[in-house]
Amino acid sequence: MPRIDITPLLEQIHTLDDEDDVWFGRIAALLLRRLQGPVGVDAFRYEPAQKGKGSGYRSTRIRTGSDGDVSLARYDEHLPSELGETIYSGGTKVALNASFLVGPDGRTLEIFHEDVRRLRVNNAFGMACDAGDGRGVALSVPLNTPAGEAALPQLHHVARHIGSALRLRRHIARSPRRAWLDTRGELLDAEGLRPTAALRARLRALVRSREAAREACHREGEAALAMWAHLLDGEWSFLDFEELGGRRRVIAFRNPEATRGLRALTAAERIVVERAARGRPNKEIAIDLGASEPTVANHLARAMAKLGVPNRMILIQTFAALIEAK
Amino acid sequence: MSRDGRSGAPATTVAIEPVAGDEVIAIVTAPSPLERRLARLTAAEADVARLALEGLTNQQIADRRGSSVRTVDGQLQDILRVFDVGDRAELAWALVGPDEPREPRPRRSPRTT
Repeated sequence: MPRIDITPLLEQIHTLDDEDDVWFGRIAALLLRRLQGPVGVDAFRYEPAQKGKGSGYRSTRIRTGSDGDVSLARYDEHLPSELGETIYSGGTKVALNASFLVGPDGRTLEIFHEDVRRLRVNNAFGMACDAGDGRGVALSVPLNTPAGEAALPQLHHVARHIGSALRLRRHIARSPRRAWLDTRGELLDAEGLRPTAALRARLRALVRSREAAREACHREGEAALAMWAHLLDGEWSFLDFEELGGRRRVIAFRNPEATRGLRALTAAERIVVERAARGRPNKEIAIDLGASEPTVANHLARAMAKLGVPNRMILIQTFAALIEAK
Repeated sequence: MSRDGRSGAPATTVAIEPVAGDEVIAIVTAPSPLERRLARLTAAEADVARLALEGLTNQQIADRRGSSVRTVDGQLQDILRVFDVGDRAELAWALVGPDEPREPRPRRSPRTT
């Protein structure tokens, strides 16, 4: 399957300042630069709703010029409806509200992705992507022109890319290594996927409530050992390790089937990581294998990136927890 | 039932949990010998050891504890001596590894996972 490496886009994004609006808008603009068509891009940020005024709405508009350059214009406004959305059609603002979204044709609101809502209206197709924290990107294309209709498939295409970009943004820590999408915009793989602090907290809360309820399906021993094997063969990836109250926990997530090949360790990486996980220094591993120390260090770094393990100490503790069953 | 030989601590468990959509996580919970082994250290040393296990550098440990990095250097050397190991990776294994380091072996009953 053809793969699109979006790492350069992420790198460009990381060189920008912390203006979130610009960040999200830039993702959209960079993706759109590959496409043609009368598509407008808005980056927006929701403000807390004000009493009697509906939801406050401050927006930064980003226009893509013919050469793909990005220009900014900033303005403030308030929408009348709490569920209001704004899309743009050929420079004309079209305000949508809740009733509009569930309009007479019954198909004006379509859940497309947790991050991407597609909104279809009479004269324009709009799309709003919400990162879940009040930031997002909106796209729109007019449908009352042949060019607009022609651009529609491209917008669908871009929607998937942006959804993936937002998911990446949530998952990847400060320094992304590489990430790949397939041609449909689905996230195939990203090296060094890391749980965010919020996800980590959610998982830990989930684990505690689960243990309190005492209804976990207990498959001990060999299932834990099997988990180590599954980490090495790319079926699962490491997510979190926690030591608490005389117990230790490893949390892993199951990779989508398409990414397992990318995550699987090579034979050399396995040999190195199995030794490093037992606390063996690189120098000793190198002697064992008859390889140079930098080679061992390279194998280990690649292996840990594939596993999703943040550092050597966590690697050792994860392995120790998984082989505890005897 | 596999026990670690101490006060009825539950054995290793593996739970598979759906999270969101078709995402699935696995939670492996196992008894840990860490606290038992840290008992050989002073309170300050044990704290340094825990932070080292998180993967922090000596400088980061010093910042976290509000001490100087030289103090941490010294404490870590003392810890390494107590467990008779050469570096922090070996220390980690000494602190969390099996009681008698050995190859993992499968449990008795054949079962598919």
